[in-house]
Amino acid sequence: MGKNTILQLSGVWKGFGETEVLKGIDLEIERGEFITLLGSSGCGKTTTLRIIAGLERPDGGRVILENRDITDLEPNKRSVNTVFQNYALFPHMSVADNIGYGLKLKKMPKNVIAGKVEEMLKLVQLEGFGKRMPGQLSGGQRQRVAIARAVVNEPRVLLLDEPLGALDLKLRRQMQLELKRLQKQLGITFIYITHDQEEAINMSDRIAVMNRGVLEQTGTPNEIYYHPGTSYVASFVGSANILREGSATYAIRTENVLMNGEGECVREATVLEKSFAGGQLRILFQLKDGQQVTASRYGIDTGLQEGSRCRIGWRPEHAVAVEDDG
Amino acid sequence: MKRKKWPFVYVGIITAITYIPILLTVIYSFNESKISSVWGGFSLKWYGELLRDRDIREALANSLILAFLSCLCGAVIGTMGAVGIYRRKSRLNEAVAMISMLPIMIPEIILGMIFLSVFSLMGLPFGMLTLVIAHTAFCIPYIYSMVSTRLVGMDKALEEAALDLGASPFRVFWDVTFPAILPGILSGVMLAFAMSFDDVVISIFVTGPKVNTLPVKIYTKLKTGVTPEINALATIMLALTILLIAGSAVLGRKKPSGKGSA
Amino acid sequence: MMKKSAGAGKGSQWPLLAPIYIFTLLFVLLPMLYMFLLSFLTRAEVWGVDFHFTLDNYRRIGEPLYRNTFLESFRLAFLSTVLVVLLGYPYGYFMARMNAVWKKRMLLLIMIPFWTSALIRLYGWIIVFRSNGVLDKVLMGLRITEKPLKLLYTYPAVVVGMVYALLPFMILAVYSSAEKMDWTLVEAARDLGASSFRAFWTVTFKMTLPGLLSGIILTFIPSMGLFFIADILGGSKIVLVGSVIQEQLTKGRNQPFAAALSAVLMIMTTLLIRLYRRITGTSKLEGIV
Repeated sequence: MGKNTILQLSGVWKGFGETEVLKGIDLEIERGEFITLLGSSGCGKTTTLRIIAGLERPDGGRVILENRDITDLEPNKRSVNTVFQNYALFPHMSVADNIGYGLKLKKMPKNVIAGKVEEMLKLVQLEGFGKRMPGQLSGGQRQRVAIARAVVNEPRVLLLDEPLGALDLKLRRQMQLELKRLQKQLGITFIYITHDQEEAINMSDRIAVMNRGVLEQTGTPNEIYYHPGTSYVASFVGSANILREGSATYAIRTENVLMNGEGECVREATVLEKSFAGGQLRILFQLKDGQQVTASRYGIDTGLQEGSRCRIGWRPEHAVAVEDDG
Repeated sequence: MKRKKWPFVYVGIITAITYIPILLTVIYSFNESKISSVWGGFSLKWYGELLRDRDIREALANSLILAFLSCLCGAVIGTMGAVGIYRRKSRLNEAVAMISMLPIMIPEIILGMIFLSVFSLMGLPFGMLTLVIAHTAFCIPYIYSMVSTRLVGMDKALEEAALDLGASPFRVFWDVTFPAILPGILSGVMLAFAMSFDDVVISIFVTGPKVNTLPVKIYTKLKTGVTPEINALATIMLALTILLIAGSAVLGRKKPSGKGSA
Repeated sequence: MMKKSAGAGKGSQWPLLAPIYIFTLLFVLLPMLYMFLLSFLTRAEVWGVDFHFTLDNYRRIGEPLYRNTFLESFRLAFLSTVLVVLLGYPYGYFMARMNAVWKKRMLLLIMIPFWTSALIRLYGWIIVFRSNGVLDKVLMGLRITEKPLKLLYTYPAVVVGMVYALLPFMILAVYSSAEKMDWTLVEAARDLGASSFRAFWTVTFKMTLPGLLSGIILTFIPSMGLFFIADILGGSKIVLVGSVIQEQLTKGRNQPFAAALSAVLMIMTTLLIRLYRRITGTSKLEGIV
C-alpha cells in the first residue's frame, strides 16, 4: 500500500444470484486525486461504488480506507459520501435542510449548521436558494444541491455516480468544468463513475476502465487513450480499430488510418460504407481477409466511392499491440 | 381525434341514476311529514329526534370507536407489514401479503361466517373486541395496499442517501421513509374508516347482544319498518363518508415529491 | 437482476413483519382452514360443534330445497352480472378515454357511492320503489301506469338493487385496466387497416379483459352472498345462499352447514380467481383498491 493511498480495494468480489458482477477488483486510490471508473452499463462500476459507500457488501475481498478495514462497516458510519445518479434529494425538506441533514445527524449546533449550509450554497453558486424545495429547482440546480449535501460533511472520499447523466449536453460540459474546479478547491478525493469516455478524459487524473466485472486498465487519460492495454480499452475509449494478424492484436485509431497509399503498413481494401456524423466523415473498409477497418476525417470528402478499391495504411507506431479480450 | 358527445351522455345518465336514491334519502331527511311519500315542507325535526334517541347515540359512538380502533390496529399492522415486506422480498412474505388481502377479496358473508365460528370456538365474548378484530382484518388490506403503492413509487436512493449521510436505520425510516408513505397511510386509513363505519354484513355476525353499531341498527330498523329518522341518519352517514373519501382522494393523489412540486 | 442492498434493507425485518404475520395467521389463514374443517363436522345438540366427521353438510346442499336456493342464487347472480357488465364496461371504457380533468371528476363521483354503505344506498331505492313511492308517482304522473306498481319486494327490485350495489366494482375494474392501456395501439391497429370495431375487438377488448374479468369476480360470487339486498328489496320472498348462511348461523345455530355453504362459495371464488390468473397471468385483481 502506497504512502499516499487513501482507499484500497483488494480482491473485491460480488455476485447477485447466479451472475458475478465483480470478479476480483484491485485498485489503489491516492489522496486528492480525481479518478474515474469508466465502462458500459453492467460492467460493475456502480456496484464497485456502492461497495465503497457500504450500500452493498462484497462477497469477497477487503475495502480499506486510510489504513482501516471498513468492509463490514455500516454505510452510516463511513466517512464517505455519495452524489446519487438522480440526486436523491429529500423531497419534503428544503434545500437548506437537505444540505444540513448530515450535520444535523452529527448533532452539530443549529447556528453552526446554518453557517456551513450558507457557505456551501455560496460554493455551489446557489445563494438565496436555501428555503426552496427540491421540486422547485432545475436539474442543474438539484445537481449542485446534491453535491453540496455530500461535500458539507467533509468526506474523506466523495463518490459520484454518473452525476451528470440526466443533464443536457451543454449543461453537462459546464458542470464538468465546475466539478473539476470544486475538486481542486476542496482537495477531496473524487471517485467518479461514467460511461462517457469523453467526460472521463476531460475530468480525470486517472481512469480505471472496467469491463464485465474486471478492471481492464488503470492509467492517466493519456495512457488510456494512446497506449490501450487491451482491445476492449482501445475500442471503448476513442473507438479504435482492432486488427488481428496471426497471434498478434493491434489497435489503430480511426483518425490514424491513412487512405492515400501513404504509411508503411499498406493493405488492399474495398470501401463498404461512407457516413457523415457530427462533423466527421467515417469510411468503413473491408480488408481482403474480411476484417473491417474504419477511418475518420474531419469534414473533407475523399472522393472515394462505395464499392471502389483502394490502398489504406498506417504508421507502425500507430498500431498499438494490445491484449485481445474479445 | 373527433370528440363524440354520446359517451358523455351515457356516463352522465348512469351517474345520475346512481345518485337518485342517495339524493332522495337526503331530500326526505328534511321532510316535515311523517309519511315519507308526502312532502310536508322543510324541517330539521328528524335530526332533532335522532339526537334525542339514546340508542342511536350509543350506536353512533360504538361505530366511531370501532372504526377508530380498527383503523389504528390496521394502520400499525398494515404499515409495518408493507415496509417490512417491501424491504425483504421473499416467497413467504409475498404469500403472507396475498393472504392478508383475502378479507377484501372474498364475499363479505364468508368473512362474517368465518369470524363468527372462530370466535365462538375461541370462546371470545362477542362485542367490541370481536368487532375490532374482524374490522381490523379488512382494514389491513386497504392500508397495506395504499402504503405499498407509495413505497413502490418512492425513489429507493432516498433511503440510501440518508444512510450515506450518516443516518441510523431508525432515522432513515423516521426522516425519509415515513414522510414519503404518510399520505398513503392517511388515505388508506380514511378508506378503511369509511369501510368500517359502513359495514353491516360482518358486524351483524360478530357483534354481541349489547353492542350495536349504526349500520346494524339501521338494518334492524329497516327490517321492522321505515321511519323518517333513518333518512336523517343515512344522510349523516353519507356526509361523513363523502368527507372521508374526498380527504382520501386528495391525499392519495398528492405526488410523492412533496409540497415542493407544483 | 435481484439487488440485495445493505443498510436500510439489511438486517432482520422481523420486528416489522411480526404483527402482520401473527394477525394474518391467527385471524385470516387459520380461520379459513377452520371453516373447511368445520364444514365436515357435526352440529352439537344444544350449542356449538361436535368434532365428529361427516359429509352430511355437503350432502344436504344437494337436497332439493338447498339445491334450488343455489340455482336461484346462480340465476340472480348471472342476470345481475350480465347487466353489470353491459352497463359498467362501456362506462369504465368511456371514463378512461376522457381527459385528465374529467377523469378525476368522474372517478370521485363514482367513488362516493362505491365507498358509502350499500345499505344506505339501497334504502334510497325503497323510497323509489315502494307503493306510491317516487317511481309510482312519476309513472302515474306521466300517465304511463294508472295504479301503483307495487315494485318493492319483487324480483326486479332485487335485481336493480344488486346491479346498483355491484356496478361501481365493475366500473372501477374496467377503468383501471383501460386507463393503463396504451391508446396508440388502437391507432396502430387502425393505421394497419382495422375497422374501428375490429380495432376495439383485437386491441382494446383484449387489453381490458383483466379488468372485465376481475369485475366479474367481484360481482358474481358476492351477489350470491348479499343477503341484505334480497332482504330489504325482496322481502323474504327471494332466498339466496347468503340468506341461508345467515339464517343457519343466527337462527338455526348450525355452523357446520353454514361453513359448508361458505366453503362452496369460497371454492367457486378460488376457481374464478385461478381462471383469472390463468388468463391474465397475475393474481392482483384490477380496481380492488
